[in-house]
Amino acid sequence: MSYIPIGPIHPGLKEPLRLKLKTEGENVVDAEVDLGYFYRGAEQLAKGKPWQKVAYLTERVCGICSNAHPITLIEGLEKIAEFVPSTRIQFLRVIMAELNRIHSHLLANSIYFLAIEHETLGIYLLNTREKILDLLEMISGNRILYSWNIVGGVRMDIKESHLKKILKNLDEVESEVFRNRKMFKTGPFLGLRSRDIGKMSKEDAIGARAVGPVARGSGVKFDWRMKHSTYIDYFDFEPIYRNEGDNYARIMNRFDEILQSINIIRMAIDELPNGPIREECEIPPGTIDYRYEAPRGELAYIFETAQYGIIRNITIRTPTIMNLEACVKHMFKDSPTIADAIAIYQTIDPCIACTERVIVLNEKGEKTEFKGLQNVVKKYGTSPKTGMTSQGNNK
Amino acid sequence: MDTSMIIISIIAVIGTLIVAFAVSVWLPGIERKFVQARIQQRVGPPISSPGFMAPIKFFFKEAMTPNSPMPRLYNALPLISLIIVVFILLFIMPQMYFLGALASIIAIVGLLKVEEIMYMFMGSLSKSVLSVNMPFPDLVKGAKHVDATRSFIEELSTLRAFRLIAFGSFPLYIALFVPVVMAKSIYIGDIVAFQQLNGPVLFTVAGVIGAIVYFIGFMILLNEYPFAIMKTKADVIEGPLLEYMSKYRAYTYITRGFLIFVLASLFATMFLGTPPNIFSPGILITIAVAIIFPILMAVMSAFSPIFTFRQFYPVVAATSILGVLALVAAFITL
Repeated sequence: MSYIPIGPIHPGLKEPLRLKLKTEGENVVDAEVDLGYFYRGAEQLAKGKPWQKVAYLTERVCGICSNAHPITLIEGLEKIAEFVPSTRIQFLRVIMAELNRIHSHLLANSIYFLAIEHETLGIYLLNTREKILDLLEMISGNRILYSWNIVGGVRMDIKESHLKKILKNLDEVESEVFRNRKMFKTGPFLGLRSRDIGKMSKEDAIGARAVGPVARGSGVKFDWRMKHSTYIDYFDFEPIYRNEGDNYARIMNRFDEILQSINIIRMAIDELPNGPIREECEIPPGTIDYRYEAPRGELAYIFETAQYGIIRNITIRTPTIMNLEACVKHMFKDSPTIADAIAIYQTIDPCIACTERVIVLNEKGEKTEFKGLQNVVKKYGTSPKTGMTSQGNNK
Repeated sequence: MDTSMIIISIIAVIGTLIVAFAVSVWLPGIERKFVQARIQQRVGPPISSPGFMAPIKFFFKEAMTPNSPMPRLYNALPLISLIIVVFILLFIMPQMYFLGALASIIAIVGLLKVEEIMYMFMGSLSKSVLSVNMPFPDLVKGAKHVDATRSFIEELSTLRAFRLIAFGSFPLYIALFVPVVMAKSIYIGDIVAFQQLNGPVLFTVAGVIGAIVYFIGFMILLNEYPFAIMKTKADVIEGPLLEYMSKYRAYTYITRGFLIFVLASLFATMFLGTPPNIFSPGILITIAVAIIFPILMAVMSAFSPIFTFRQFYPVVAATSILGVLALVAAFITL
């Protein structure tokens, strides 16, 4: 019995964390995860700032879900203001959100194929993703950080010529996704590496509070879009789910969700109404717990506003923290090899940058109040993690 | 043997080695640029980069002491591997057939085994910084498994190398014995002579099956995808080769290119009856095989994920059974 540390710096991991895999021979029997290599303090930075600044900041919580984070904040703010945007605004937001979902899912599946070292399929998917990034750039002016959503609407309209280009690129993306999905579905070696690996039952997924495609891959029929007014009223949305609960199910679920998103965008473009793209909206003081279906799963923004749209307090819960627990508790168990464990880890589409949060415990292990790293430095004289002293110097 | 013959033989051996080296440095580039990159719709590296420019670059890099209990021995292993591979090529050259038992299939198999065992030594002697407690000690931060032994990713690759030695190379060795059975001799010279009289082994049923088995064994011995479990990037990264730097890494690159050429030469010798000899037009066949094999290998590897042992065992078992069938067919055609 031994354990193999993977990370925090390792080519198998996209972002720094440490997986400690307890092994018997090559079989992984237990696992532990160390986080804490990537804390940036987004929530602390957001406190006391107006929503205009916080919207920019939330985009930077995650570069891949950079549409989901600001839209969760903004729709939450609009809910506090009891503001209902025009139908055109809602449709434009759906188009952008689904494009973002397609590019995120393509990247997630690509990373999985690179983890099982099927480089060809991984690179095919990255090439397909380029077409979506081109569309996002065309709409917003940027490939990754769009700054497109604002309270009361969106920053720029989508022109008629842009809509044609979107439909053209989506046709190409759809045929490529169909081809790659077929390769994955019928490729015998791909199936051998993916089926019955990293299994998690529906009960386990619910128990571990897994979210997004990870939960839906284990048979949990839930998607926050089912409860989103735009999707309910105009798109007759039904979540896609599978019952296998293994790597294969999670990857296939993402492929199917890409095709579903393409259809939603087509419907939105077909029925795109005329109307304003931005309306006036005053943000009053209030609190909200608003949830949105980000590409990786449920994204929760719990915040409090003061007058003039100042964010008084904010807590962000990203999907990966939930899925990571499900992965460590259930999926890693009985992983046949360490290579499979890395592949399992990639199927949850982890984003460590948005997951890192700080909890400060006292010597008895009780949670204590934490108001930013600087306050810890002031209180204790030095930060145990960075070596920062109260004078701001590193030891 | 008169003096002029000895001089011509020495020139032939040196010339063949130079040709082998000149061809082998381009083979990794052909594999990666012309085939894999084309299939994967990307530009790929310059053709000279993986086998030629990269070793040159590494020769001029600074060497640091690797994290190893025996760093000198660890650093010497790539060079030892290269020497072993050169010896295999030497023993299949026609000028060396006077060596008797050394120019036999038993010696070749033994040397190939030693080349495989080198990976075990490399993995056992390496403890890279990527698997040590970096940057924070693992035993703090409330670890659950404080009583467990910490192991290194190279140790894992050593275990995998051990498994590969135990069963992974069966297909190649079984395939090598197909011409032996047909020629009724273990000596390379006799096998070549048999094929010059009776035509290449490849053009028989046993030879065709044996060639397929040999090719799969060739991929396993080179640790090429999908059989690259010993150095998979997802977990053990480069496995036994992880800690090599500067000229020692250059030797590993050169050895791999050279091993591709040598195994292709061995195939040309055993299945086509054309041993590597610069004074014979048969050298062109050897070069052609040395180019075709990496191309086929790249096509195979581009469309397959890496095999874990769950897939590896059945594939090796099936290929070995196919090899045994080739041997049976060879016995029947006697």
